[in-house]
Amino acid sequence: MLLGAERVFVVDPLEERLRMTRRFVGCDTLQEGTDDVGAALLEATAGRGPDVCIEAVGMESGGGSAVEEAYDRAKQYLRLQTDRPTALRHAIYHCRKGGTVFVLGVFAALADKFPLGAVMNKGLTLRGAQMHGQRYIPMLLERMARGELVTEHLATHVMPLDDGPAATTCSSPRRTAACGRCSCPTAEPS
Amino acid sequence: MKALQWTGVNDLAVNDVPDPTLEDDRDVIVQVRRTVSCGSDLHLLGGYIPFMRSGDVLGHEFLGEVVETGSAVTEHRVGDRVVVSSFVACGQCWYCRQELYSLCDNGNRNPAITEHLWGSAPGGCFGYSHAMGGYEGSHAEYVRVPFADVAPSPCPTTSPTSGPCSPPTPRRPAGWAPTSVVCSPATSSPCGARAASARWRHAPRCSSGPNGSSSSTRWRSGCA
Repeated sequence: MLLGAERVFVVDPLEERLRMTRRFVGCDTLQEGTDDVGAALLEATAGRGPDVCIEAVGMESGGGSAVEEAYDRAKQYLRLQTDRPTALRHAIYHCRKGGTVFVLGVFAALADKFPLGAVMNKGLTLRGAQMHGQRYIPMLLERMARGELVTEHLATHVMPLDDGPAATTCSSPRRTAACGRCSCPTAEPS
Repeated sequence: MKALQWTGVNDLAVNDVPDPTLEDDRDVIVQVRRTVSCGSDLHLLGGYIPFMRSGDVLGHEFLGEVVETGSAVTEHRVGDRVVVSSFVACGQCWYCRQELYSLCDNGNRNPAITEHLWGSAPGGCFGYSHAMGGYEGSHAEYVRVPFADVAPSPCPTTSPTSGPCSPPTPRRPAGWAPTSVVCSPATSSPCGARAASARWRHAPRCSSGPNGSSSSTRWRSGCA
């Protein structure tokens, strides 16, 4: 891949997003809920698991068992936790011993049932960040200008500002599958 | 100007709001050309971040054209096309000097909220609730950009058919027909044509080497 990762897997429940990933990024994909994600990751890494797992979902995560999902949604609804950390739990679970888990999805404050035992006993490194745009945007623009990064396909919807409410909600996976989780509709002041 | 306002949980409206004005001599005003709905806009929309107020303007990923500059701004002129980082950072504090801009000590105008919640406050962010500074967002015709010598990056010149300023390609993947697409003259004209027209009074600056802008960023933030 662009910065030297030997192999990258993208895990997502929506086949449309995975198709976009295969077509425009060219890395491997696994469908949450359909594929056996854990077995596939072990198979690809000589039984160890990925060196690095990047959680990129955030506080409205789904994808766990029905019990896990109901528990997290109920606690969030009752304000007993602000975040549903399902994807983060999966990242910690699947990461290899001594690996690094990166929290990139947006979280607000507190999450319950955090697998601290796995972090400690597997010797994981836990990292997180918002985005240091001033540091990386110039480099990204130069890579785009050189054709190393292609981004046009991410603008799936171009809409005028007057359609702002629809432009915002159409990126919700509940409304349409025709978008990635981020960077979907592009509104233009009319 | 028109702007997309958060008016309540799962409630948005496009309304007329006051035009932004320069509040500091390091500000610029950017006329927004493209603004992107991010997944985190959905968290804000759904009330998962409890520091939104009715009337807040959403939007934090955008590019546009500089239309007004504060007296202390040296890196941008009226007419520059820029991509603006979503995080507001001063460029001079301990964190910014290490290029950890989203951890800026001075970008968040309401640090008390996140200092109480998290122990210390990260930088500010456009359209991202009052916990992150309460800055008006980019889903609007114009937006005020603080610390303008640090945040916006000039768009490099590109070929007419590719690059960060070009409109989205009509070649969308099969099965990805958008539910609603509104094409305006601006979205159907290629970037190169627009760059060559009189609309852009200054050619965008372009760094030649892969590290050009990074060293420029370090220089702007006062780091050797």
